[in-house]
Amino acid sequence: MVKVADEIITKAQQGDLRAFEEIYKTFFGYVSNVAFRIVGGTEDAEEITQDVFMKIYHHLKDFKFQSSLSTWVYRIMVNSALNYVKKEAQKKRNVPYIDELSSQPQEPSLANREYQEKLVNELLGALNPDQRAVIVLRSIEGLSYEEIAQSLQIPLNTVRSRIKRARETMLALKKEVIQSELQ
Amino acid sequence: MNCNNIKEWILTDYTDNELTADKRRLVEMHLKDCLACRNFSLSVKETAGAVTNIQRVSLDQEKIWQQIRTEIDQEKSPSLIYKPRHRVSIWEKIFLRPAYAGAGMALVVLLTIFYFHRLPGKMAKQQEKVEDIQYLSDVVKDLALDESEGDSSSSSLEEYFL
Repeated sequence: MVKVADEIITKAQQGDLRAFEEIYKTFFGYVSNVAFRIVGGTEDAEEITQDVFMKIYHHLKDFKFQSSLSTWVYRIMVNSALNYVKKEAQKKRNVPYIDELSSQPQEPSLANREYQEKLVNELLGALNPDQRAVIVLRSIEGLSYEEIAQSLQIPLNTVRSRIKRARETMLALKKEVIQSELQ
Repeated sequence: MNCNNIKEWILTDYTDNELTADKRRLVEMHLKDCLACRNFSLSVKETAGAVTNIQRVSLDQEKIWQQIRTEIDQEKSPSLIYKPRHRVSIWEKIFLRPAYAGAGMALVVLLTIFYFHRLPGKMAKQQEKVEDIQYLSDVVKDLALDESEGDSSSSSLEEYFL
């Protein structure tokens, strides 16, 4: 997990915009990446990223140093992304996970990296938003189960069961993809 | 341990290095002897690894920071402009709220109905009093007349009270 000095946090709490920019720079990579992987589109991810940092800006004064700032930011991040996905899903009933890369036409001559990217996007797209969030936090951001539980404020066993179901879904889909490619 | 238990761990803690050393040893011992679980473990690791190794995506950091700065500046600017605060009186508070205004109107209507409903009774009572006074004044007049006529043994006033 990324760390920010308490002094910087205190300054940002007092309204120091430079200190807040420091926090922004520290967490930008994480926030934008997780947003992108959960919602699956650049424009939506940008909107969520901006929204997350505005929430951090508004609520930073309420941060009491009881947990690490990273856990606090991760919680805001994932909740914002999940709320966004759920709201959009309610609006449109069923919003497919559309990733700009996976929407490109499939060609047999795709480079391995592009193929992997497309495959992963398809795998993530097959998951529900809650499962996708834990997989992104675990496999992409490298958080431990304990850190995921703290960030999402869910029991450790819920983290486990979401990861288990997500991987079962991904395994089944991967099998399908491989079989369809062989045919 | 049977294959189902091992597979549960493979799907989660084993692949993510969350198992204790003892449990990890148990799984590895099982995998040595069980081809099905070994293949299953390889598939899970491959799938999990594909997600782990995916390229990190980074959006335009500077562009989003500028948008955030603009939003913060817009939020800050209204507070810099001095706006004299208008003190709201208690009557404004009451009558500007639709719920209070409605209740007030209803109360006024009820009081009016109550007042007019009781008015005829009041007026009737007053009329009775006037009539009583008039009657008494008539009796007093008669008495005066009787006295002037020289009959002092009894009076109509006495008869009235007896």
